[in-house]
Amino acid sequence: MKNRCKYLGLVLAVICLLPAAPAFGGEARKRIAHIVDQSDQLADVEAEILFGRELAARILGHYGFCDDPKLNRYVNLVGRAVALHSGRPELTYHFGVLDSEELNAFAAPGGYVFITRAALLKMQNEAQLACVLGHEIAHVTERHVIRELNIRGADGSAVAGIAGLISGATSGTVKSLEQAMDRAAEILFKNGYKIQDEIQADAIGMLMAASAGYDPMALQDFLSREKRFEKEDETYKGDHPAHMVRVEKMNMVLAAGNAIRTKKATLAERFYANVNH
Amino acid sequence: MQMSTIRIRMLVGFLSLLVAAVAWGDDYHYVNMIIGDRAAGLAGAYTALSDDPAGCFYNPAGIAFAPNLSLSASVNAYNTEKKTYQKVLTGTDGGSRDWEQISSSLLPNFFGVVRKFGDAGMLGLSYAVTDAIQRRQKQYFQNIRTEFADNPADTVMININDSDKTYLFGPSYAYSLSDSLALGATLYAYFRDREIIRNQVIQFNRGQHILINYYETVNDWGARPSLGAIWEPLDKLALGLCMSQVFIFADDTTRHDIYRNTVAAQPMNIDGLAYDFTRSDTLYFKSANTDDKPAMPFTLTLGAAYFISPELLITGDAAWYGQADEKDAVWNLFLGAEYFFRDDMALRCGLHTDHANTPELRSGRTNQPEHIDIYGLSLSYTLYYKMSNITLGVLYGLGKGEAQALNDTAVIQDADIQNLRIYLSASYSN
Repeated sequence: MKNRCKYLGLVLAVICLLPAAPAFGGEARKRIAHIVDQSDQLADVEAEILFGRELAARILGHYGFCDDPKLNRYVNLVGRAVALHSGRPELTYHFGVLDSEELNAFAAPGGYVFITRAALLKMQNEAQLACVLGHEIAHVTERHVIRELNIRGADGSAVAGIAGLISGATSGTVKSLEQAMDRAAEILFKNGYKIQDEIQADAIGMLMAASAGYDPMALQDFLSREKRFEKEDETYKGDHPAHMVRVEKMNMVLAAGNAIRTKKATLAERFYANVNH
Repeated sequence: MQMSTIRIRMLVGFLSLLVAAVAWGDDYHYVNMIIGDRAAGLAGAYTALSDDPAGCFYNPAGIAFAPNLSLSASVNAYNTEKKTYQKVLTGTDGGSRDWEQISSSLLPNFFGVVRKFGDAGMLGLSYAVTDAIQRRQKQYFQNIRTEFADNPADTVMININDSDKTYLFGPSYAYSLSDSLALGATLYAYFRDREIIRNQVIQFNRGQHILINYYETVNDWGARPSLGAIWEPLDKLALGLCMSQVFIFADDTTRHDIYRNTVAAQPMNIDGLAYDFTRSDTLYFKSANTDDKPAMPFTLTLGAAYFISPELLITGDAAWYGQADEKDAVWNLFLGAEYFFRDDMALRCGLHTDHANTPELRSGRTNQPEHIDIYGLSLSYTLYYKMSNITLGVLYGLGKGEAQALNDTAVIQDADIQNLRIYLSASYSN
């Protein structure tokens, strides 16, 4: 018994020292079946759109839709111009303005993108709007929510059928749409995306806006303003933490390309003509 | 665990045809059922992997590395085993007779679910059947020699029907201390359900007979805590460690003996009473209840896995089982390899040992437990599709050793075991 305690103590001591060792993230552990996407793309896209539609309904239910057809038309036009460069032609993008005093924007999977009226009012030009919408579109194109929650289409394969017979289970028993919807709402309204997802969305959003002819620097400008408003505005519930990290990464993206050196449109006048400050 | 004994065996030691006390279930080995689907394909070399629900059993730390948010798996297995004791009886013609015991069972022997719990945690729940034996011997021999040269047995009938199953059920939790290190624990509830039915009739040439009926039920309740760690010190290398032990908290054993022996010319003294079996109405009967709690060994398993490429890995485990009651300390080794020959198809194979936890038999002694070392190999094929995969696998074990199948004789028989397990499993990920 004494010896066993000694060995147990030694094992625990080694375990305590191990966290200091280099981390490899278990990447090599992943097998090819986990790396290569085995999914049925059509069914998965259908599931993504259906899930996004439900989530969009929750967003609208939570904030309310801004009943301003002109404003919504304008946001849709800018958003669709940016979305043309999204690289996911299978999706139809829908943009809407939320009737909220919160400074925020949301993307639901499948192409449903929202921006609050308060956020629009804080913007200075169309390029900022294009970059913010580009950022949200990037959350859609990169399937950040979908990947986080592993939303996939129904598995109607023969293999799944046999597996169900063997185990007495079906895919429905291991995945609850309601639970997934609750978790998605938590990501959007409470916890926010992972910082690496935000950084990726910044980079892709800027490139999409730049490809559409907008000044990509506008995102950084708006984020700086947003940060300032965050201090002033108690209603701020933004899901974009670690601004400094994001700005730093944006600078790296801009420096890596020639976008920073190319003068692009900001279109302040057109923006003010459509957004009533 | 204390080796079970048929009480009556000690009362009638003078007659060498009687069945010796043998282990129920398979107390002489520790690798009676290899759990899991992928793990079984790798012959149980899973301590450094354990990244699916089977990890709850092998090394709970491993479930922290599960590639999906949640996974469920179930395994249905058909198990068959044939144990042969060679040349146990000798016929009046001088020829020898073997004993054969056959076991078979078909049951779901594993179900497990793991699910992400918090940022760095993984929660698991699993059920495993670590031993399942439904052993039968239904043999009928004629004209068998006995120690009475002028009174051979016209008929020897042996009828054995043993059922022994061990169940584990409980939660697991794993926590990632870093990207390359995780700790985990499982607390299984332990339940063993055993029923032994043995009938033996020996009809002698001169009209006497011996009748033995033995019935035993045993229920053990306990817990099997296990604690594990997995560390990835290098990009392609994982090391695993797991400690576990079964603790029996309660035991309920009932034994019934029925015995009659008309060979004895004089009254026999059993439990202080004289039994005159020459009278036709004399029968020995005894019922007993005990609550002996068997000791189980402390088990330490060390494993390593090397991820050569996303298609190929090799893995190995060394397991040490400590001494417990009459069981010796013993080592077992497990080796496995996995190869994806397509993105969605994997082949696995492995080798393992299953050493007996008994000492080698020594000449001149009686009533020694059998000693049979088993060597096994595994092969499985898995087809992956989207959220599910199915696995078809086979495990084969072959062992040779020695036993004393008969009671109170120093004769040692050669014995061999062959076991085969075919399993079909399904796994869901989400």
